[in-house]
Amino acid sequence: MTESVHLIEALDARVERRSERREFFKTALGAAAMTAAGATALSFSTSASAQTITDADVLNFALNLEYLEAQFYSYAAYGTGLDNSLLSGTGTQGAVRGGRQVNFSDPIVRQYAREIAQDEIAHVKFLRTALGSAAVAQPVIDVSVSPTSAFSLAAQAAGLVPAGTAFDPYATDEAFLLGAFIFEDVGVTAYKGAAPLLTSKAYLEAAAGLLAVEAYHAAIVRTTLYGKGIATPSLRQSADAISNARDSLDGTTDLDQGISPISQTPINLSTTQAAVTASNIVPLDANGVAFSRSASQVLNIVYLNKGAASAGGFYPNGMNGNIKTSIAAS
Amino acid sequence: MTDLNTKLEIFDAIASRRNERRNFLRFAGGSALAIGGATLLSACGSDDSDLAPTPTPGPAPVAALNDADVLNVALNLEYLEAQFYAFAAFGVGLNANMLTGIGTQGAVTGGAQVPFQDTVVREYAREIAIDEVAHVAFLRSALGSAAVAQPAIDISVGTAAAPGAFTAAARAAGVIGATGVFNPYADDNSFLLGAYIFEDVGVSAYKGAAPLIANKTYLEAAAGILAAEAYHAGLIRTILYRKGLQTPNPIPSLITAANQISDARDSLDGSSDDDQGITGSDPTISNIVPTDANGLAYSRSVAQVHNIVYLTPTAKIGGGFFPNGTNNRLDSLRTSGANA
Repeated sequence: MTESVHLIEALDARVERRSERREFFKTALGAAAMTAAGATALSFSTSASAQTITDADVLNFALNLEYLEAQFYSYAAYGTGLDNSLLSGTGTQGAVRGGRQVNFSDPIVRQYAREIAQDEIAHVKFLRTALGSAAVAQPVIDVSVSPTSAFSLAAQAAGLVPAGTAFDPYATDEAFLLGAFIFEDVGVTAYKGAAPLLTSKAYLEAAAGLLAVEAYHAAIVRTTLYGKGIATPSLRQSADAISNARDSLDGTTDLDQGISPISQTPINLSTTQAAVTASNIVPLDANGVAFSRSASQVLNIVYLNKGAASAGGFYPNGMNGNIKTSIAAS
Repeated sequence: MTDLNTKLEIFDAIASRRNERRNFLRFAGGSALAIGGATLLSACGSDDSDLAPTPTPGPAPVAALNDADVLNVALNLEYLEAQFYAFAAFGVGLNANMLTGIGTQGAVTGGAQVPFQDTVVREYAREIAIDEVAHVAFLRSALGSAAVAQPAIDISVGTAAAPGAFTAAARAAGVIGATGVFNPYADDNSFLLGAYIFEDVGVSAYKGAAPLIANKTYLEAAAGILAAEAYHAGLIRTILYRKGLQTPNPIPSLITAANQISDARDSLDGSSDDDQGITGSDPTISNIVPTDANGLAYSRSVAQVHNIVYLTPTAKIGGGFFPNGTNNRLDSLRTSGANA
């Protein structure tokens, strides 16, 4: 897809939109975003002639995330990673570290793993096709198992395993579900945060379609953990702990919720209601609206670093493309 | 947190988005034309900065679509969902002060609390009900005096001789026979199937509407509600799938019924295949997520959404869950598509 046909209007619209895109970053990241450090961090300048976040930048940011998810699920479900033909592009191409097939004991969870893997591979293909020659290559991705692997560091931060201990998301159905849990809600908040940045209506509708699918995936994982949590309460607690760990990385705003039941008092009904116990499969604010994360907040999580960083965690050498550096979460 | 309640910011944002809207309308292509009948090119210079337009006497000028109209389409759907889930979970409907607004206000018929046997299903029903009521409140707050009133809503069972909307839907899908009744409030599994009717429709409706919303704050909010509806749909589909296949005591009829409902929706909204059941062609892979070949969720136009909620393949205003039609300033946003 090119914008050459309506470049003039697009540029006009973009001038208007730059100020509110700036607003979005300012709101999402706090005042720090507008400092020199902030400008450098996002390759985003306050001067009219300097770099501006483009639709391609946003889609490439999404593509980096989809590479990670697709590799994890593809290995977990099928024991193989993405085909080589899906990895090339701009920037430095890297290999995936780790990944192996899960020996599922629950055939339904195996089916979910396959379904999600197929969706994520389709997402990689779709974004690569949309971006064409502008697509970034897959960077180095860590989905391996060792005491210092990304999964293990995330699990240690959440208290799932002791410090210095490996967490293996391929070992059991439950570990797989918890490993998946790390990603899915992040994908939802990333697409929601990015949607208003897109200038092309066609890309916007596509992003909405990707957002919806990531939410469906997150619901599969959260619902399954919740259901299995009846017999194994530690599963719910582990999911809650991962949610808290994500919250500790991306700043003080509460953008993340665990799955454990909560007591709520229904309002706006025709009669006054007593408090009831409800599940929390769907992480929403008081308006029933899903949360957004800025690109920097997403990077805080996938780099496993609440400080300013250009690499780390699941991306040992950082993402590829123009949106790859976080600022310190606040 | 958004600043939707700050009207000045809203008007500023809308004023500065007028150019974007003109650009969108100039090259929007298919999405814009999917609004059955509305002439959108008249947006230039119209009163699209006015969230609460006053009626114009005399011959009506060609109406221009604005963000409030699109959000009101969503509000109608949220009224329907909120009433169903509120009754199912709590045995009561929305507060009277949540129903007022522009257009003809109607009552809800039907609705009853489900005698849940499964604690977890009860918890899910409560969670979803609270979310949907919150969506009604949120959209009403965003729209302010431009919010439409709740139209007449039918979430009843009815009788064999005088079927309510749920019975009509179930009959059309083949879930029950031509003379049967379907009561989504009878038990856990009936409730799940009743919920199944709505959730994917909500997802496709918000996805189809996203490109129509010009104001970025409203757009982000719509994206947030889209995500919520997708989570809900994923939850319902996951539960139905597991109950259908669980060992011991699988209930394959749940999967069959879900797939029948999906096919029925497909038969109403035109020739495009934009709906999928929870099983696909490969029995070793679930189909919790209805996606196209690119792994994206489907869109529905406003007209297509109305085909489903009116339970009709023809162009009309009213039927099914909305006996007198949805409420909207524009009749084009209340009319189902001609797909018969």
